[in-house]
Amino acid sequence: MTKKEFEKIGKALLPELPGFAVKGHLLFMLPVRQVLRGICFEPSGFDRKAFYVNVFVLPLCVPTQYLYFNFGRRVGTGWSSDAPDVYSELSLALRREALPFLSRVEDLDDFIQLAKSFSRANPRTREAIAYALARVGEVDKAIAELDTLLAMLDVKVPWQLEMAERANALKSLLLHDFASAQKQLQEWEAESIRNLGLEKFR
Amino acid sequence: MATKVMQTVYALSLALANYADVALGADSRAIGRGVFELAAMALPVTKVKYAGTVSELTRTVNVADELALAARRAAAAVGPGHGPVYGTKVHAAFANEVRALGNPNVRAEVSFLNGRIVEYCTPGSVRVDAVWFAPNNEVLTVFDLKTGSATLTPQRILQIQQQVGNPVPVIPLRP
Repeated sequence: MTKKEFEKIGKALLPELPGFAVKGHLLFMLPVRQVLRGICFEPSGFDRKAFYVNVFVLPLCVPTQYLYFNFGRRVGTGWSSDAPDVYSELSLALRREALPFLSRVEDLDDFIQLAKSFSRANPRTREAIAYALARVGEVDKAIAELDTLLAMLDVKVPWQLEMAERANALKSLLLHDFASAQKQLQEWEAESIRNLGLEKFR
Repeated sequence: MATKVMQTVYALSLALANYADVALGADSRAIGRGVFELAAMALPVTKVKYAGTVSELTRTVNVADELALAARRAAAAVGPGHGPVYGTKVHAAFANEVRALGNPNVRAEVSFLNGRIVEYCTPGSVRVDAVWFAPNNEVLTVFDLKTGSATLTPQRILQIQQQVGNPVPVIPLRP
């Protein structure tokens, strides 16, 4: 399925999802500030009619160039666009599963609570919690989380080295210049929003 | 049927024996890294790295068995064949079988990039055929369907593990 086809599904579902907007294959809650709360349609790689639906939240202060669903889950196990009643079934599933999940996260404090329920064996979880703690001003907790993150990273892996360098930079700012740390986190938020093409929804 | 049960029991006991060998080492949480063989299930003889508790290991064997059967059903639905087009058809049928299992923790067609679960076609990402997740989104096992002469190479396993972000077990499924 194409992004245009997904956008059509998203627009058809909008009346059932007050407070949401559609951009391509992404449905998301407005306004977009510190946390992106969304529903993303994803095609199957093998079947033109099959698709998946991911409900997720992500903290924008962790810079990203693409959507990711670590803090989320799939709605249903998979969908087919030619199934009878796909719109009504999908609408029902979103109201039953996606909306309760997304409505738990109004702000970064809510995100931190939610993120703690996800696997902390994944360094991405620690990273998100640490950055969110820093953004809400919980400096000591943020530094403790950054230290745990740094201890678990394997800097021989390029992307983990990048994570470590950024975490060290943030930790240094938090220790020495809180205002600059906040400014940096705000810049990362703006960068993520720009990379995801969501500037006009802020 | 009886043979199948015996084979599964054998596989499990072999797995547990291997697990015990490593679990009795220095790790006080009884979590070890071992190698077990899924020889007696529907799978070919396959060595798999594993880290987890005994109950997790038991569940892994069960999920692997379920997915091996799904792979067989997929191949049967497509019928005999060879080549890339045949492979794509079997993969499509397998994804359909995985979706039909209705298990929210066993997901078909999942992409990973740098420790993140990402959408299909994210540049640089790897797409795997099926993943068993814990409810907290921890990746427990990755399953890679192979048809024809295709094999799961050590390079591919490493690539998957690097993008998942953990040295998770990667199990090949061959219908």
